This record gives sequence, structure tokens and C-alpha cells, in this order.
Amino acid sequence: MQKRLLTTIIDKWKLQLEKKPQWTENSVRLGAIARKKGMTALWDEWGARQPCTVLQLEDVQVVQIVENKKFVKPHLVSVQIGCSNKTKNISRPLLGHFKTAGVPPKWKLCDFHVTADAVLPVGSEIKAAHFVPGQYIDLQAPSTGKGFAGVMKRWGFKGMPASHGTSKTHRSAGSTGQNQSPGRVFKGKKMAGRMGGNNVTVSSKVLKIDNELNLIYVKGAVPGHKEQFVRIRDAVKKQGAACFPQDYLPPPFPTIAPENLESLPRELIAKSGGIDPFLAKES
Amino acid sequence: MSFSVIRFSSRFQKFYFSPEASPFTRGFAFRQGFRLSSDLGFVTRHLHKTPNNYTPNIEGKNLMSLITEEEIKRQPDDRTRLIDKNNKDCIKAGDVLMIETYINKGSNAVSTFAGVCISIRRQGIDTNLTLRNVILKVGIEQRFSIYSPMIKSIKILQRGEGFRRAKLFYLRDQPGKAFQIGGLVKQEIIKRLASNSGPPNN
Repeated sequence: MQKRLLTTIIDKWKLQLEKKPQWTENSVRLGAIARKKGMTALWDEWGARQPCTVLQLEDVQVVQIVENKKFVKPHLVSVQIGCSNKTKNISRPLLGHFKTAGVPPKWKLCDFHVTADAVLPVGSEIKAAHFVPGQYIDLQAPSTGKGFAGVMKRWGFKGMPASHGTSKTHRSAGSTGQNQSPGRVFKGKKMAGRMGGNNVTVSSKVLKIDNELNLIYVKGAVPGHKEQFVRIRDAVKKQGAACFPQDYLPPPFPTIAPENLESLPRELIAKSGGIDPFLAKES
Repeated sequence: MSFSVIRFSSRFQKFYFSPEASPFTRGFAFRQGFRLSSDLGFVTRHLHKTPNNYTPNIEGKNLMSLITEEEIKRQPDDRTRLIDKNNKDCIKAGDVLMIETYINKGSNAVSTFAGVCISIRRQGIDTNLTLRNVILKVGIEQRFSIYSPMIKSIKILQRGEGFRRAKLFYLRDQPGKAFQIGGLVKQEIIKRLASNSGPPNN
């Protein structure tokens, strides 16, 4: 039998969490990974229809925390988050990685660079209530693949006339350059090729949060297909307090506390605010 | 705790598996030793108490259809029976409908549109139908979301007969007598006035 060393490992991030760090304007919160489930519609308080996408947070846990990571700004800590438990076909290196964390193996791992006060200890779960209804968020996901797309679909070229003598080139690009000078086709010339499947960032708003099923309803469309993993984080273009609605300041920091979560109703719906869009403008 | 099929070897690494994985499935790595234990300490799925003691049954159900069902159950009136295909009195393409909508949330003022239903798009909570009418020789189409809070009432003025398609977009080019519904609308208005100015309740 191996001798077991009795050592108490002090988790500094757990200690920090117990001290309850306060949210500041310069804090960068953790994001989450969600799965795109589909689209529906919601009606706001004015009766206006808002198309929305349903994203589900499925077993989102913190897997690894790395300080002073290479190529990351020194004041930021790299926190790796995993989403969706995976039960089979996990490589040995990955199994070891999850074992160190004490976390069930995950399908998808993503890094978020956060300020030191926003770090959660390894193994802590991120719930839908981490986000606040009405806040601005950024969604990143690979866009739907379109395969080898022609020049009209890919770049919006106008093609050629359907008749009047055009022979077999109705959808082609036409000319690709000049004559002997320069005598070559410039790099970056728009041509047919693979379209889609690249990372796309979309700025959007949270319309509704479902605490029971861990859902986030997001305004508009989200890149990619259903069951896709989507990276969610607070909007980069809205710094500090501008990201969140006034009613929900300060946001749950570093994430929603379990005692607050228990007292929340099942659904939190955002208010559109502003004036009634159906009122006739009196000029 | 007693263990049944256990081959616990200290040579192999212990690893963690999620609560729903059964150790006896084919995909499970039998080469490695494992131990059934609840003291592995990984975080389980339900960390918090159920708020409001409500747990929807999600066994074997698609999430989107579950959400749709719940939203439809919350509707104040039974509009669902108008579009439910299992209901023999449901709206079909070709029926002449009159829909009243509130013009804004602030007032009870209502705007009415009557027309032939040329399409029904069933999209769960976003189910919508398109009504077409010809008013002063101008063809007008309007799409209504059935579960919108701005819709006051949907009334069937006449059932369609002889329409053999789900979507009647061909009526845009070959209307025939389909849009001669002015008479139906007048009858409906007369009915309403009669019921409004009926005998007083005493």
C-alpha cells in the first residue's frame, strides 16, 4: 500500500470566494458556455414581438485556473470552463486533466480571461442566473457551414445576365484583374471557396432567464446549428455599469450566490423600457 | 459499502465518472479499475433547491417542445383549440376570419382586420396566420401571431370550401370570388351592434 501524505491544501480561490469580493467597474466577470437549443418568440411589456434564441447551460463548471499565463495580460487570470458531461471516449490525458480538477469529464472546454477578483474556485458551477435579464452579452460560435460556395453567395457578386448571349457563365465572377501590368491576380481576390464554419461574434441582449431549466433567452439569432456550444460573456463594447440594466446593478459577482439563487423565482424577464412603440407619434 | 464486480488495482489510475454513467455499459473502460463511491466529491447536477417547488418533467422530452407546452398552458384563453389540428373545428386555410387587435397596451381601442386565411405557420408559441383581403381594389395581407398579447379575439366568419392546399398563395394571382367577403363583415358588425344594444339586464 502506498503511504498517503496528510497535507492540507489551501485553495486560495475558495478563501477569496468566502470573503465575498465586491464588483467594481474594472472587474471582468466570468463567462459561460451554453448549447444552442432553438428559436422562439417572446412578447415584451408593450406587446412587441421579439425573436429569441434559447441557450441552455448544461453542467458548466470551472476546470482549471492559471495565473500569469503566456500571452495573457498579467493582471488577468485564465479560467478554463467546461460544459456538458461526457461519459465515454475520453483520452487518458484528458481524464487526468479532469481528475486533477475533481470534475466529471466535459465535452467542451473554453478559456476566459478575468480579473483576479472574479475567479471562482475549481469545480464551482455557473448557473443561468449568473447573467442578468436585460444585460448586453457577446456570443461566439462557429457559423453554419455552407461548403464550397460560389462567388455570388460568398461575396454577393451580381453574376451575369440570364440570356442575351451569355454562355455558361451566369454565376461566375468574370474578370480577375488587369493586363500585362500587373500581370498577376492580387492576393485576397474574392473568389469561390469554403464559406462558413468560422468563429463569429454577435452582440446581443438577454431577454429572459429560466432558473429551473438553466436557460438563457437571447434576442435575435445566434451563429451555428442547434446543440452547438456557444461562448457567452458580458459585452466587451459596454464597459462597466453600461453593460447591465440599472435595476440589476451590481451584477452577481463573482457569480450568483447559492442563497440568492434559492430565493429567485423561476423566470426573470427583462423589461424593454422606453416608450410604447405602438403609440402614434404626434408631430 | 459493499462492492460487487470490483477489480480495484492501485496500478491503474482512479478516474471520475458522471453520476448517470453506468459502470456496466460497453463504452466503459473495463481495463481500468473503478470503485463505486459517493465520496469522490465531484459536483452533482442539482446544486440548489428547486425554486417554487416546481420541477418540470423533462424525461424523454425535447426542451423546445417542453417550453412551448408550458407557454401555451399559460395563455389566458383557449386559442389553442383554434389551431390544434386534432380539433375538428380548427382554422384551416381558406376560412374567412376576423381578428381584433388592441392598437396599444395603454387603451382598449381595437383595430379589426377580416380576410381569407391563406397560410397557417405552426411554430409552437410563434404560430402565425396570414389573412388576405382586397380593399378598394388593393390586395392587403396581414400576418398575426396567435399567441400575441395584442390579439383580442379571432372569429371564424365562414368556413372555406373546395380549398385543397395548405398554403393558398395562388389566390394572389387567381382570386376568383374568394375575396368577396364584404357582406360577411357587415353581418358580423350588425350582430355585434344588436348584442351590444340588447335588452338591459335588470
